Amino acid sequence: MSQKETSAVGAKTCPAIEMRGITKIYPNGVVANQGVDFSVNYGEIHAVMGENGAGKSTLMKMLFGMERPDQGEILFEGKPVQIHSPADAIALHIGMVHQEFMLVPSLTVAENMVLREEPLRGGLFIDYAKAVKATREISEKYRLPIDPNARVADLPVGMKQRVEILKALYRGAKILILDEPTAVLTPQETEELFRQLLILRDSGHTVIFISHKIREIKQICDRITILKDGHSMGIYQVADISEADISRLMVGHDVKMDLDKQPTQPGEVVLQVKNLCYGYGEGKLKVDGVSFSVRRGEVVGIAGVEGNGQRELIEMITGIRPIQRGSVHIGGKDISKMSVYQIREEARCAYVPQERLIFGVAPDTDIEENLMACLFDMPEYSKGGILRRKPITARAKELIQEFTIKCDNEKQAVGMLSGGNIQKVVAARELSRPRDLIVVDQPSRGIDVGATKFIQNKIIQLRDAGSAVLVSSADLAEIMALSDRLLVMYEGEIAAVFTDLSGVTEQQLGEYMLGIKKQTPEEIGACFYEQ
Amino acid sequence: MSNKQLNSLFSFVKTILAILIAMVVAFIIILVVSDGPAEALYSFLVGPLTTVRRFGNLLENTIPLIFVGLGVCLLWSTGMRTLSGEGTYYFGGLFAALITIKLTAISGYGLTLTATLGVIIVCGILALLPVVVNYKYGTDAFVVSLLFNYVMFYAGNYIFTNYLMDINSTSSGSYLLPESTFLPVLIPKTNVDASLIVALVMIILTWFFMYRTKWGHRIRLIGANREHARYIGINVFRMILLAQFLGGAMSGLGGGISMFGYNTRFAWFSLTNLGWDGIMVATLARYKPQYILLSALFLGYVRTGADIMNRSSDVPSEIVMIIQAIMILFIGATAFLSGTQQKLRVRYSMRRKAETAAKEG
Amino acid sequence: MSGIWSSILTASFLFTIIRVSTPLIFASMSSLVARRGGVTNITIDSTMLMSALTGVLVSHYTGNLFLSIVAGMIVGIIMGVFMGYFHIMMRTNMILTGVAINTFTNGATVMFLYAFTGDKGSSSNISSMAIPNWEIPLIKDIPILGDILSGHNALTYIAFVMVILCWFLMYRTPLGLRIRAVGENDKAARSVGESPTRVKLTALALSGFFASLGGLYMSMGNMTVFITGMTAGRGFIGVAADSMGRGNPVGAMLASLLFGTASAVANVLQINSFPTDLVMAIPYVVSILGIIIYSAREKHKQQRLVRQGIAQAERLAAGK
Repeated sequence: MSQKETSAVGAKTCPAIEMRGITKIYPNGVVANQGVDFSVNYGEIHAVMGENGAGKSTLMKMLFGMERPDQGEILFEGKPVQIHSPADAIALHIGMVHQEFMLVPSLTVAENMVLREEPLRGGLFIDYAKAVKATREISEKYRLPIDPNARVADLPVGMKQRVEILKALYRGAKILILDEPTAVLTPQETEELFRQLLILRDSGHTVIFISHKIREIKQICDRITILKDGHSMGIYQVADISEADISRLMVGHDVKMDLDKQPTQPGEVVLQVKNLCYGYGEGKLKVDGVSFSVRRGEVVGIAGVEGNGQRELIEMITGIRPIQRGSVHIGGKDISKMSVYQIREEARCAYVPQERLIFGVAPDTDIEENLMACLFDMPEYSKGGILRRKPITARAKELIQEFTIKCDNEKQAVGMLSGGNIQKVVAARELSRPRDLIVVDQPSRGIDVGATKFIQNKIIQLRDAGSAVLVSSADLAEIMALSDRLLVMYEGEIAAVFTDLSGVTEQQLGEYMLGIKKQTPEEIGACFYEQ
Repeated sequence: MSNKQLNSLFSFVKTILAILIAMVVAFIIILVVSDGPAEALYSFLVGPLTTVRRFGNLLENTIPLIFVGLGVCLLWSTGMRTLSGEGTYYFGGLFAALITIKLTAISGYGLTLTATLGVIIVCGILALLPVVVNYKYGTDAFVVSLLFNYVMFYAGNYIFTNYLMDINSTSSGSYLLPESTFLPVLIPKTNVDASLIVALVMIILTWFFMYRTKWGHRIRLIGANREHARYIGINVFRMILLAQFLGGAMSGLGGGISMFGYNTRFAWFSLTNLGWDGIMVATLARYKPQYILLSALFLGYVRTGADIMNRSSDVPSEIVMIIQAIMILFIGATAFLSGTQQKLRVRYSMRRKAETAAKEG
Repeated sequence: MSGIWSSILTASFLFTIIRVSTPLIFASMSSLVARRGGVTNITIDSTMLMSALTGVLVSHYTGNLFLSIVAGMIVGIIMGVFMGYFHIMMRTNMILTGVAINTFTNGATVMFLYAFTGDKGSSSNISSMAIPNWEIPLIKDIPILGDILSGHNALTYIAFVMVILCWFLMYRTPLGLRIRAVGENDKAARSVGESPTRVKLTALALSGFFASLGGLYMSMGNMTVFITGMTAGRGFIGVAADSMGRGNPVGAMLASLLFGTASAVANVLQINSFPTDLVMAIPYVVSILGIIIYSAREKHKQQRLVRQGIAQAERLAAGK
């Protein structure tokens, strides 16, 4: 069972998989893919690249049968096929390693491996010993060592991913889809993974590698498909295309950011973070002893590859996550015992979160409610708990105009708007009131150029008006344009601090972001001011 | 047509279709079982409107459904699906009887009011337990509320059999409640009393609370997206407690108020099943208080019609349960008609995109 | 007080406990397979009722015991699949599906009973066959123990066999592994090509099967008559017992015996003006406490892990 014989690879001219004119529209009306063409050959590592929300994951989920295309066709070795479910995909020797692991935590590695392909004893019972043996065999064959008897819940992230890859190989996968596999890995684990992928390619497997890290793609991929806003921007040989071209095709606008930004003189310290830690109960901390300050009238940026603790750091500062160790002061007040409400209203903190549709808005409620949700305590908008409808609607209309939110009217459901307009709704709610501290996580993720520009200008405006601003972004050009000072996070720690950004290049930042270099504690201490 | 309009159109069409399917099934059953299907159908469909007494029955059946329906609207508004309505309705009735019978210091409507207030507070608090332990320890609120209903019942039954049971009376039940506490009858020759007015006021109050106050807004926001509500600074736990308190209090009020004139004595030897009925009423009303009157009246109507049919023909009234079941199954079925809806959505989305493109190009 | 003890500490009382616990054990196994598959089945009571009625009607009209048991089982499985069809295929909310099916059953059982016997309350107009009681050789001759363990209905012994079978099913067979996988993370099952829909439907069919045995015991074992609403919430007790047993068949069986003990105590002591209602409430309170303590412990464990993680990281930092 473990070693399925794959049929002889079809004619060399014929791609292993071809997807033609794929269109997918989600129930909330979001167009994830439109008329996308895609094809891969055997024995290549093929990158699929695009910004968040460009439709990479959706395209791959359709290939793996987890979503169904609304239009278009899929060809396997030149023959049209219907992939209705992962079972169909597996039968075509397609395997997928998802970003979110598809493992059952309470079961052992061997049990996870053999799920649905269980070896039997006496025709009725699972032969667990055989399952362990099969797991050992496949792990040795592909040189991916694993303990078959370990409970998946107890494994570190890198190992869980290994179980996922083995699972696919056990089921005879010849075409392996990896959805942002390096996002959760340490550099050593990433190197290890790449070595494995090259071995797989050389043995005739196809690897489809979804990523938004150009360096990694340059390192191991043969060809690349670039997606933007649900459209395909074409298939290229990785060797023939420059990083600048890739990024131009991907983001579609000039990477250079020109922001009208004058230098300012920072005032007193507003946010002070001291020795902050956060852990999920694994050996490694997600945020590991971070200290820094943000003063009035300055923008402090946090750069870094996603998943290096930025999100946890920001969520602790804004009260969404409990502080496990260390302290956060806003305006001199310790926030560890404060509720989110107190942080927002008493410590005067505004927060534009990264996950718009989870934290930023309630997609099924209307624009007005989303804009005004945190203002209902003000006497202008409610009296004795009863809402004053006219002023609320009037203010909502004002905000829609001021932030140029494109919508039918203020009663439309927020979830129906485009990403950029949803982000503007969040920004209008958070950035329309004078605040001492403004925290923005990924200001322009997955939104159009116009909205990006608008929000970036707003951030600078608020800085000039005397707010302290903390911005985190995975987009280097953006973070460099916005920040007065810049921190780089790597593995939960601050790896570098730049107090003067003139002359700093993306390459330099990249070296810190990828953990190649790290500044001395003295240099890093430069971002911490006593109050 | 916007997506939102499309969604509400589909829920409306689905509700109507579900009712139609259920009615067609009922007609077929009646045609098959009955020797005189025409008369049976007539008494089922028109019966409740033929006499004042029957119309009274219709309203009497509707009143408790309004309370429990509103109760479920509130209980489920934050997304916590608890079954506390069942236990609190029972306990509301019991507690109203207990206070009214045992508290002899006051009488008349003063006593009615005191007992009602007591019921509201006690039942509101009783509804909190499942969500408190859910919040503190992450236990399944649904299962805990299911179990806790039985605890409420057995505790109530203990009070009933030990302190309220009238052993000397021929009809088994509690002592009679003092007549001075009974609500005035609205329609002569029926048992329709002022609790109908209370029920209607409660509908308006619940609607007002949910849609016109900041607390109602917060509660709805938690139901729509709990993470967002937390991020906005809403004290999610406190609001869930508030919603559960009000939901429990509403169901309890329904049970309690039925004692003042309609029941005259407490005689429930088991849970009433009205908590489950409340789920049906609320589902039919799509969990919107403003539609509760309509859905409670509808359920009350088919139940009364079935009773009349039962008495005047050979079709058992239990047919009404089959009607209800079919309706709820189809209204609740997310996948029912979802294919058609998705097709329309895709078509609409493409057209809209083309329109924008045309405008920009 | 001595009177109470003397009525409890008898062989016949222990016999009673086993007798009353039988349908609860079936109900708890029914809840268990469904809940391990990720569905809280609140239609067990209804399923028992439908099977109980089917068994009585088929036995009356065919006079064939085997056929009536099979018919009862088939109806139980159909009820499970019915729940599954609406909850899983039509994606109706679990509670709504339960409410609808329970309402349906309350109506349908009465209508069928009325159609076949002309009575809405019970099947006493027609005669039903009985599932036999079994004397266990050897054991029946042991004093006291024989009185307790021997002479029960065949289904009582089958109930205990079912607990063992259920354990093997859940922990030793591919289906059990898949049910547990789907219940814990249905995406994991999907990703290996398993259809969670199919697994959940199978789990619910099994759930219906276990419930049907409980129903048949009620109307053809414990009594030989069907009475409207005779299951009286035993299906819900099954859910409670399964919650207390935390998804382990043996735990669920022990919890069922606790519920059975409480109702046996309440039955015996009714005459002694004992607060029987409070005794009946005890297992529910214990269930609730059990669920709370278990979740609290899990939460505590999680917090301790986080604390340990930080301490470990600090030690590493100190060592640098």
